[in-house]
Amino acid sequence: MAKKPRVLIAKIGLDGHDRGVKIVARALRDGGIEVIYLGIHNTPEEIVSAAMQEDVDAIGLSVHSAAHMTLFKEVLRLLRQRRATGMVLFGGGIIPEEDIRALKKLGAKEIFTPGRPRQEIIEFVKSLSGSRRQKTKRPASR
Amino acid sequence: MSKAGEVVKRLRKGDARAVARCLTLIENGDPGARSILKELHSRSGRAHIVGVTGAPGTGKSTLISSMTAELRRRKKRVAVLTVDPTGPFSGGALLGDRIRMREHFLDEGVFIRSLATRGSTGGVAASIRDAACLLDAAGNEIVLIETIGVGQDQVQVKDLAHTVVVIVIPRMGDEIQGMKAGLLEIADILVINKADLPGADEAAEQLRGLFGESGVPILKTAALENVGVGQLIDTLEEHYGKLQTERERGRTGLDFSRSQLLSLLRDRLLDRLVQRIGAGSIEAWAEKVAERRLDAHTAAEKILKSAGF
Repeated sequence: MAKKPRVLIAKIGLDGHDRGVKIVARALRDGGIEVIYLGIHNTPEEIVSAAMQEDVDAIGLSVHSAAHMTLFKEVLRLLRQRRATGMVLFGGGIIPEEDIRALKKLGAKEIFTPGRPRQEIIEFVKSLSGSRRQKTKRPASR
Repeated sequence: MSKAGEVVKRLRKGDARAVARCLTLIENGDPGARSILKELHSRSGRAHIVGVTGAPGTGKSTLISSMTAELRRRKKRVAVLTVDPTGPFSGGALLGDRIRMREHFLDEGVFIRSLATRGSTGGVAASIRDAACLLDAAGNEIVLIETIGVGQDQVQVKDLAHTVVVIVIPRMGDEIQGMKAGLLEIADILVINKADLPGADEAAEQLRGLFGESGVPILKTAALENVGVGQLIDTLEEHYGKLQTERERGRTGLDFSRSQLLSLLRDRLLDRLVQRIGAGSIEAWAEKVAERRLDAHTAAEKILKSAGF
């Protein structure tokens, strides 16, 4: 059986706006990706612990609560602490342009804001799988 | 030390990252997985493997979460393998069982992994045996295997679990449904989950009428309210204990091994056959059948003959 891209999709923090994240999860599923869907109200610890056990290529987090800076920073810190630096973090939601730049600087690979076509997210996730095992660079050093 | 040897050492220490990585190798059929499994095989066979099966929405994941909580109270190390279907058209999957098990995410004594069927049709993933073997050898005392939501005939879990729990819910059908062959008869333990819903007593009565004589325990649970779960775990332990005292575990072990061997041989024989005659050749034969120039049985015979069987 060939390798399949695997991704964990969830909402993080106190944020119940899950219509978008459900659409993304199903779009990825229909794009041939294995999606572990974790729903709403996850803590950074829960996300990282689940991602490690599931050995996913990427974690995709949806945030509409404006707490993205704090929460993404914490997830990235935990990933480094657990030496899971090959795992890619990406996100989506209502996130201002300047925060997107800051998040990318911290190590988030991509942020999808409303209006981006689903196909772009699918292509993004597919491009990660396969290249991941070679990536050992610490996200923070990018 | 060999690379496989190094990994095995980390696995036995219960290194969750190593376990997770190895499961990926197993799922992907990576050649590296075979050498690891070779090393691990002699160390496996200690865990109680429990299959939990039932129709979609009967509460398998939620019940497994409650069962895990009870097993943790009894100081057991628990692994969960949970299977959801791969889409027949896209090849993708939405693995949505783990979401019911959140209370265990931060517990280091619980390891949960979601698997997609990736084309297997028996209700579990093709890699499930090897995955269970790995989790067994990594020191988990009980491995809970959750099948996809099954229909009447997806019963493969019986070939890999010591104890099979079949879940039904109230008002799923009359006695005739229960008389049919298939799912219900593979149960070592029958559970009526969501027993807080109306109709639970009637369902229990019906099952007792059908299976009472066979001695299969019939239990009622309400997983969300944590009702009946302690009794279910008692019954699981009792069943496993009985297998051991009756020395049936060896027999089940032989059944498991035979069925695994046969399924591996099936896969590999087909692989070799295709290698020998080329994938294009199969395509050419399929075209002949599609154009009604040949029937499929004759084509299969001719293919085997051309490959030297």
